[in-house]
Amino acid sequence: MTGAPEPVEQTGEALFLSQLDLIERVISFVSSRHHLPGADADDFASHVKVKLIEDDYGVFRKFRGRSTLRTYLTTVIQRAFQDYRNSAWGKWRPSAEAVRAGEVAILLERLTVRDRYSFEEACELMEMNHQVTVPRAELEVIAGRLPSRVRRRFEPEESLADVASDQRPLDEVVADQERALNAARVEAALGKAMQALGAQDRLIFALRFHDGRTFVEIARLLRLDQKGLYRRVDRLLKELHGALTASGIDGAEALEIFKSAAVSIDWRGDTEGTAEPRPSTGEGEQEWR
Amino acid sequence: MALEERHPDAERLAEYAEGVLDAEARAEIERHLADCLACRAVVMETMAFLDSPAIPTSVSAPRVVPFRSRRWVTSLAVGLAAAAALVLAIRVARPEWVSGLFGARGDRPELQELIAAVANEPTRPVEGRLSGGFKYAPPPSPTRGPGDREVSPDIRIAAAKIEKSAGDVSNPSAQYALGIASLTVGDLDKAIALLESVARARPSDASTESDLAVAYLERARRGGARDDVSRSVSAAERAIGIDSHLEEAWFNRALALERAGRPNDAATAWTEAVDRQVEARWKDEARAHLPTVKP
Repeated sequence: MTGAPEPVEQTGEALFLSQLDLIERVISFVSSRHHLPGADADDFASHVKVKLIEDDYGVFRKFRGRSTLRTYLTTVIQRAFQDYRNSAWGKWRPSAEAVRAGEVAILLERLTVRDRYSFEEACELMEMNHQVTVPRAELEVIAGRLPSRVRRRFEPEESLADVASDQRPLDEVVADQERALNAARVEAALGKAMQALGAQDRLIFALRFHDGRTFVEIARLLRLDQKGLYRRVDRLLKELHGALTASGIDGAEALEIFKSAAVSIDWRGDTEGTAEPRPSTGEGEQEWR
Repeated sequence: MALEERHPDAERLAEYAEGVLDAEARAEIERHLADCLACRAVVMETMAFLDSPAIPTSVSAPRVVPFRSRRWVTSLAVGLAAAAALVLAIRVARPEWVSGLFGARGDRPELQELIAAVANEPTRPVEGRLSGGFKYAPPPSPTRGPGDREVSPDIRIAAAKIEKSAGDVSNPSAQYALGIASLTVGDLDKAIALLESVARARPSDASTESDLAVAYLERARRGGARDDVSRSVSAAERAIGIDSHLEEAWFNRALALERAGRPNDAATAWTEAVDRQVEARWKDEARAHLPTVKP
């Protein structure tokens, strides 16, 4: 008979239990930010708990106390979301434009491109399943900004007999090709100019213009004065403008390319290889301390 | 692997988010973040959470919600209507059953999350039938060896929470809940010790005796002490002696007699158990034992 209580130790399990309330709150926060519908949110919650429990509470055993446990667990769960999303979405990735435009755009693109819903169906699903309350007109604007990456669908020949030819006029094709060539030129010049910037400047650019973060968010992350940040971004934009002009690219040309939904510029100067592999929440060769 | 192809670990990003790194380490992280969308998202979303007003935990109170298709809603409505009719019928025909059916659940709120977690599993955690409102599920696979059952995270979490809230386990209710939790995660010695203690403290509690019978039987099934089966029979019979309407005890007694190698007694006991099971699936499982134990 062992009715006597066992001494409570700060084991992984004890830490897990002591932080369960926080864990649930972070899960709720992440689910809400990414508009996960009920079933997906439950699925994600299970995914997180498995991650935290597996390997005998390995996540807790790895904690060294260099940060607060609260912040540490929050980063772990944020990464777990990336794992979860990657496993759920497979190889599909949102376009850079969708990432820039935010979560609603990513969701819209996911539904229309990955899941092949029509725009109307996607709008309904967003409202019904994801509680997105963005007006339809605004969603149309967002959809217009997304690159058209319609999947190929194979139709039986007989069903194509009455379909009008979808071949585009030659001049449009040529114009697109020219635009793509110009985009490559702008991208190369921009990438070169970006690499000449300091790491924090590049980070500011990525946060502001790729991720669409606000000045307030960026200033808080980098612990910078907000007004100073405005001036710094203004100065950086002028520097980049000068670099592009020096490469023979005028402002109107660059603007047309940036606005075009037909081309996508990865202007950060990095490679897909560094951005795409997801960080692992486990003991991984991809991590450094 | 080149440095820029790897990612800072979660704690390093947490340090960065908290601003506790020195200038050099901070610059190193920023070099990585400038080129890594994934880590940027982790840091920014972490900061967004830390800056957000507290979300009431009731929004996501610990719960276990399995995926259900929409058809389930219709089934639920039909099921509830049927259940309401059944309860009314029971009230009229056998009013003493009503408290036996529903009383135990309300008395043990501490087990509700565990019960919900167990309900999501394809099989039940033990071969016997636990009291307290555990839903029907097929018995664990007999082909798997002792002790190799995988316990789902939800069950482990629910059990761990019970352990945490049990405190010093001097209270019989807490001991009972912890005993059941230990049983579901396979810590059988601990479960039996706790349930024996509760049985001594509450000699007129039929549910504890019935669950103790389940625990003995489970330990026997997993190669435990030689007299566990006979202890199981005795505990189940004590439970029936205390409350002859406890259907779980009848089920467990029949199962224990079968495992004890007493086919005549087991056949009679299964016949009695079939008669006393209310839910069809428990009744069917009890009935399925009849041909196997006929002498």
